[in-house]
Amino acid sequence: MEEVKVAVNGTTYSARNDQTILSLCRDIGIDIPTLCSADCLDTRENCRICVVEVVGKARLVPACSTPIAPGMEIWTHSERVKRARKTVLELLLANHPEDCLICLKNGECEIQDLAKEFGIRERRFVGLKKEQGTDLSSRAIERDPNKCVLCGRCVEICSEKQDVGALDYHHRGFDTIIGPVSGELASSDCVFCGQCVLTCPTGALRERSALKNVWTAISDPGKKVAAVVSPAAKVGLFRAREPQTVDGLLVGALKTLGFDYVFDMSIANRLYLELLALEVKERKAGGGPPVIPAFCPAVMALVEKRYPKLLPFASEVKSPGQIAGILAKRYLEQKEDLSPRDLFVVEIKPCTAAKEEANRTGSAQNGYQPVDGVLTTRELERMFLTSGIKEEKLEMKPFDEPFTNLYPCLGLLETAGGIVQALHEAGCRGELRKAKGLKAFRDIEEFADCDLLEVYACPMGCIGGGGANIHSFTEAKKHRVRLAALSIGEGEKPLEEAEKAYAQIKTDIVSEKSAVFYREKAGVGVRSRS
Amino acid sequence: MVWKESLQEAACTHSQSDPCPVVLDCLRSAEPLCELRHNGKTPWQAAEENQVVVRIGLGSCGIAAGAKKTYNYFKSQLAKSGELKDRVVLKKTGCLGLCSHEVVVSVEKSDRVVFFKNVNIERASEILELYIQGDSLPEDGVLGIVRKDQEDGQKIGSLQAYLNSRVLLQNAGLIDPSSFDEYLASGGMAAFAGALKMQRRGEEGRMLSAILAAMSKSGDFCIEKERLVEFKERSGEKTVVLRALEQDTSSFTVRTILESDPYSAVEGLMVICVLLGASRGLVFLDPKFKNARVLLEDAVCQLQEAGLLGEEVLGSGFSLRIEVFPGLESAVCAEDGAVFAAVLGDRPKPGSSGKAQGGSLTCHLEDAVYAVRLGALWPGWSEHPFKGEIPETQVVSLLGRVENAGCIEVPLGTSLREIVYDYGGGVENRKVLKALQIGGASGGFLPARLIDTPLDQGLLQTLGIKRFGSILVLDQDCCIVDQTYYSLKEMSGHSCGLCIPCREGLFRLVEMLGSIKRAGQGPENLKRFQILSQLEKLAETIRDTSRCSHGSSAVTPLLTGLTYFKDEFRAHIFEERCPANQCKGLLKFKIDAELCTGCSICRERCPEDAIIGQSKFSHFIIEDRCTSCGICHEVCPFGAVSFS
Repeated sequence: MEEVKVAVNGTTYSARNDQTILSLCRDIGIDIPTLCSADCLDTRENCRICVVEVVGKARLVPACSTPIAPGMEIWTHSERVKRARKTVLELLLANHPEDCLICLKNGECEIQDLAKEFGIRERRFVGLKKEQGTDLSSRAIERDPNKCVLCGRCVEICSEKQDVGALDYHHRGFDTIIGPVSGELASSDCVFCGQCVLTCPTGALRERSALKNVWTAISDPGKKVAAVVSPAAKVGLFRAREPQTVDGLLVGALKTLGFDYVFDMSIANRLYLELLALEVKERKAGGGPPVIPAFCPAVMALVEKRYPKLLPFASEVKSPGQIAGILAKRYLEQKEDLSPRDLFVVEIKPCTAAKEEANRTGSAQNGYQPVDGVLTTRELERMFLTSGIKEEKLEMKPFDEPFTNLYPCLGLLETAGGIVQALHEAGCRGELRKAKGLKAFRDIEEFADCDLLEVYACPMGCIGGGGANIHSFTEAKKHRVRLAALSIGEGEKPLEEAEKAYAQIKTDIVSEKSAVFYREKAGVGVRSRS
Repeated sequence: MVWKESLQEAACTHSQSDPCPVVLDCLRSAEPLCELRHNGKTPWQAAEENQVVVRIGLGSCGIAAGAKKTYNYFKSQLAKSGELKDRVVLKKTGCLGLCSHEVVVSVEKSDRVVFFKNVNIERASEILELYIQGDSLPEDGVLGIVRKDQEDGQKIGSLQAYLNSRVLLQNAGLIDPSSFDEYLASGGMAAFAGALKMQRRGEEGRMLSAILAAMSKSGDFCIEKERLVEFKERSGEKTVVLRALEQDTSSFTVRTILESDPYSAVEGLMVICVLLGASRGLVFLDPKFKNARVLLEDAVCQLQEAGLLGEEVLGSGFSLRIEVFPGLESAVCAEDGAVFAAVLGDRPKPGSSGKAQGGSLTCHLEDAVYAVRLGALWPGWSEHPFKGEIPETQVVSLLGRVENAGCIEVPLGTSLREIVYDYGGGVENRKVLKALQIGGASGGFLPARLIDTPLDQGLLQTLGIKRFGSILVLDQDCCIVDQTYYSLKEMSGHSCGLCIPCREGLFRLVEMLGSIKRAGQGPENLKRFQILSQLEKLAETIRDTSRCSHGSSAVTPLLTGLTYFKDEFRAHIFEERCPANQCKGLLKFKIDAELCTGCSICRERCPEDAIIGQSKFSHFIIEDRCTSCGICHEVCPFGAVSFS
């Protein structure tokens, strides 16, 4: 690495020669707008928004991929550059729907930001726009090709980072679209991890919203609505407040929204862990293949779609969300003396794959779904917004008995490495290994001799999930710190009392353990395809 | 010619009268000294005393013109007559490059070869009776006569001079493309022998100069020198990808070379592989070249059987594999990155930092063939590079409104006037030349007044294009706006869709050009007047910002059109008039009441119900309804519909 001198906008700066023009300009505080390049992604050179003028080059060069050369003379905001950038954005807008007001991303759209920055006040190019139908085939993610600006971020994240490869460019020229080969996400290789939704600068990729169903259930007087809150969902909410007040505020907010019961997931997590430890032990004793926990529904979807040979590896224990749903329904069934049809359980989790999981026919128990709706953190924020809930005026409320936050430390299950750590702490012996992302399945042989292989689809686990209210990887890192802060402390009751309460719940509700929590053995059917 | 003399010096003791008896054995020897040079560039050696050789051009264009019928006719006639069967040998050749004269048949008899043009069955029987059986030439239909023992004058137009001046196309149309023996007889594999010799002797410096000279045809490096050196020094498995793709959308030069002389293409790739130390060569072929693919695969098989390809080539410890890879068409593979992506099975997109890029290199077909021609000089050459010893030429597909369309080879620096009028025989139907479009759909327009410009790098710079393969001749009836519209439409449709300027910008340009090609209505006119400045600004932005050369070169027709033919654009926009009467949307149709007989054909055919009138009374066009489709003009049997 060498120090070189370059001139930016007439001032000389020293830079490292392995830098790009963009990174140098960010270092020295010059803001160059970008669209296709994003945090931790390799997409580059597609959008041509970041072009700059380099003296001696006939054409404008993209700042994101042009390396610094000694003696370079760069102009980042010359008239020619500004005009080119503006024209490029105008071209993009000419082929973009004009429905900003009714768009999901209204206010947080990157194209809107750019249009504001460039001061676009008219539509110079008017002509044909693409007209494609919205893909509503999947129950987790919807795809609106008309809003797609073809920046390529989702393609990159899907094929390079997640190793799923469900999305790619198709056709050529003006007809170019990004999507799955079949045109429908449901029948594609998509595992519904939702990372594409996180990275999409516009509203082209978004979660299938459960809001309508939830609102209907809440307003239905004959229905009791219960919310089950996962630890990762708490992370993104009330971020300005003290960690120990988050639980209370969240319950208060949810009660204001009209939820009849608000439960914590920690009992379900505890039960999940216990059953998983048992399974690892049994599998080890029986000489079976390593256990791949069914904690992450996206991992299970990948196993089913791409690696069906690994289905015998999959754990038979349902995910904590599903367990929580079953527990809640069983408990409320007895307590309220209601049929399960009049109960509506909402899982609140920053996860899009859970939406797909909740709707699987295979996950039905005694004819009803354990979870009736999944709300991502973003959707919950939208509910707060719609109901005019202000953080400052909220009244703190406790979780409803008996599913209170007994084990805050189990929140760590929802970060990468959490399952292995928790199993270790619970005294589970054997070789427990962590895999980094879905790419691990490519060389599964490496893990053949371990007892458990922990895989999370999303980077850093559920906190970086496809339903989280984060915009960048750096933000996800902050979330991890926050989750650690939320997961310390004793919980609502001292440990001894908590154990007693847990044992009580187990005897009260969990009478026929294997029937309820274990999947049917038939055909090693971890999940039957719905 | 100077370079041919130096060839003679470089040659081994074997000559035409004393041919090398063991061509392949000679190559296999530890020091392949025999340069396999039989006699410069004339491949005629087959005809013995009293024997007649009939060669029929069976390239794609020949077949399209009916060459198979002619071939079958000759075959059946020869089979009928025992006397002819003994005396006449029937052979297939590739394309001579003179497409408008197809089917071309050459008859080699005693000391001369006569080329006949447009040989249909009728003419074929004439040739058989008059020339082959008798000894008199038919009155018409003779393209040219080549005398075997006599150098012809330098005048262009004489076929012999033209054939002698060709470098890259030197074998095209003269030898059988599927015969390895004929290729060897015409001096093939000499460059490979030379390259192998350098490699065996370990003459690294000489090899580098040789490859640099070969790959810098016409001074236009397709890759930078540094990259070439770096690639040569790289260890591990290396691949050279031969881009057997056309240089531009309307060119057919590459196909002509591949179909007439596939061995030269393969040998070129082999030579480059040897010089760069690459063990794998890939012919990246346009999938449309179906005939060429068969020929190339056959050539690779023959070379393998001869032991010139495979493991341990000729015991040199050097392995070489050549594969024919039917890839994607040239329009989507303009960039090297796209070629590599396509080889790896990905969607071709520019500049993808493909995994293959490190160990791979692309070279153009013309460069590879040029290396073969240069290679013939290597044995005699020791110190200085031989650049300039072989005339630098350009293979051009000449098409459009020209009398003799075809694939011709001209020396660099030939003026465009010579190309159009001497090689091409002038504008079709003696019309007035308006412009030339050089470089296909991404090429620039050159107005007729600049026709004396020489064809060289300077011209390409003026037009803003890098490489080209075709010259499209446009006469006075062609509309530049119309031509620009269709050029842009083609480029827009082939855009890979990754970057915004190319994907969206080209489409908007097409839309704008489309809108000025038809009459505006009411408030549209305000918008219409802004189009002229918008077109230019947008085109410049696309050129400045698009990701690869596809986008930046796609606007060349528009930018050059605006430079040289701005008046025509103005006429379309402000006067709603197409000077060439090509843009139907701007024409106003009128029925001449005197001539109209009231037959009602136009009324019935009008798709917009814009024509009214009673049968047997003259009809009228309602201007407001008319969309200027022109159907009434086409169908009127009395010529009563006129336009202005």
